[in-house]
Amino acid sequence: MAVLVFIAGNAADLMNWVPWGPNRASGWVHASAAAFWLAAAVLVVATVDLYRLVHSRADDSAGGQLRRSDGPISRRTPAIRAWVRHNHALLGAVGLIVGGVVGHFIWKP
Amino acid sequence: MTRPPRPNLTLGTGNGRRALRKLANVRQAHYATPVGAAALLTVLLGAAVLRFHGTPVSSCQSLRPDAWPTAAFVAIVSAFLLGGVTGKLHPGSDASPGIWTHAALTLFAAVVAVVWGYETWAIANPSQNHVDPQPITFYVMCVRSNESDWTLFVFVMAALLVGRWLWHRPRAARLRAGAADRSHGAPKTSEATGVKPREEARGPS
Repeated sequence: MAVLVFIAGNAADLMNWVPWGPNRASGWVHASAAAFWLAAAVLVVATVDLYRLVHSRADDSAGGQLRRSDGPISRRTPAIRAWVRHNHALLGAVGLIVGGVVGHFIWKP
Repeated sequence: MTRPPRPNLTLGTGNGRRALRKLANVRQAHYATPVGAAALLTVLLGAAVLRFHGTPVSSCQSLRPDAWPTAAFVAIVSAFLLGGVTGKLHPGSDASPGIWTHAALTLFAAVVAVVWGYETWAIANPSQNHVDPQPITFYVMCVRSNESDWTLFVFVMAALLVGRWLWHRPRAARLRAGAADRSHGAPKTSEATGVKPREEARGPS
C-alpha cells in the first residue's frame, strides 16, 4: 500500500498532473514532492494500522502482515528485515547525518 | 532487575486509575529526559513567539552555510547518541505500545505530510520579494542565520529525543539478561527473562 502511494504519487508528479504551482516542472519541486509522497505513504499505513487497532485487529497491522506473508518479497528479504529490525538506531544515526549534510549543503531550492 | 516501587494511588477506578498511575510515574528518573526536553521546548516556543512576533522575513541577511562540519554538527550527533544512553535507564515492558501511542504517531505522520505538502507548494510558487509565504526550509535557514545558539539548542533537544526513542529496546535488553542467566545455569523459563517463550523464539523487535 505504501509503495503504491509513493510510486503513484511520484509518477503523477513526473507527468505534471499535480498542480503544485507555476514552477512545478522544477527539479526541486519534484524532490520535495517525493518527500511529500513518502510522508503520505507513511501516513496511509499509520492510519490503516490505527483503524485496525481501534477495531481490535492489532494482529492485522502492517508489521504483522509482513511477518506472516509468504509472498515473493517476504521470502527474499528475511535477512534484510532482520538486520533492519536489529539496527534501526544505527539507521537513524545514518539518516540524521545524511539529512544534516543534505540540508546544510545541498538543499537550496 | 528490580522495578522501582509504584506510587500508591487509591483515587479513581479503571482507566482513570491507570491514567493517574501513569501521571505519577512521570516523577521517575527515566522520564527526566523527555519531560525536561518538553518543558524546555515549550518555554523556548513561547519566548520565540513573544520575541519574533511580527518580524518580517525580509530581515534575513545571509543564508550561506559554513563550509565544514562544525562543533554544532558534532553536538547534535552526540545528543543523538546520548539519547540512546538515557533510553537504557528504563527496563520497559513487553506490552504493546497502545492506542494512544499509535494515534500520536499517526498525528505526527499527518503533520509531517502537511509540512512537506506546504514546502512543495511554496517551492512551486516562488515569491518575489520575501513578502509571500516562503518554504519552511527558508525559515529554518533564516532562524539558523540570526539565532544560531537557540537553533542549536532545539536541534540538540530533538536529536536527544529521537536517539532515546530509536535506541530504546527494553525487550532486547531483557533477552541479553536472560541469555546471561541461562549461561550461568539459571532455569530456562519465561520468568528468568521476563519475555514470553514465543517472543524469545522470534527475537527482539
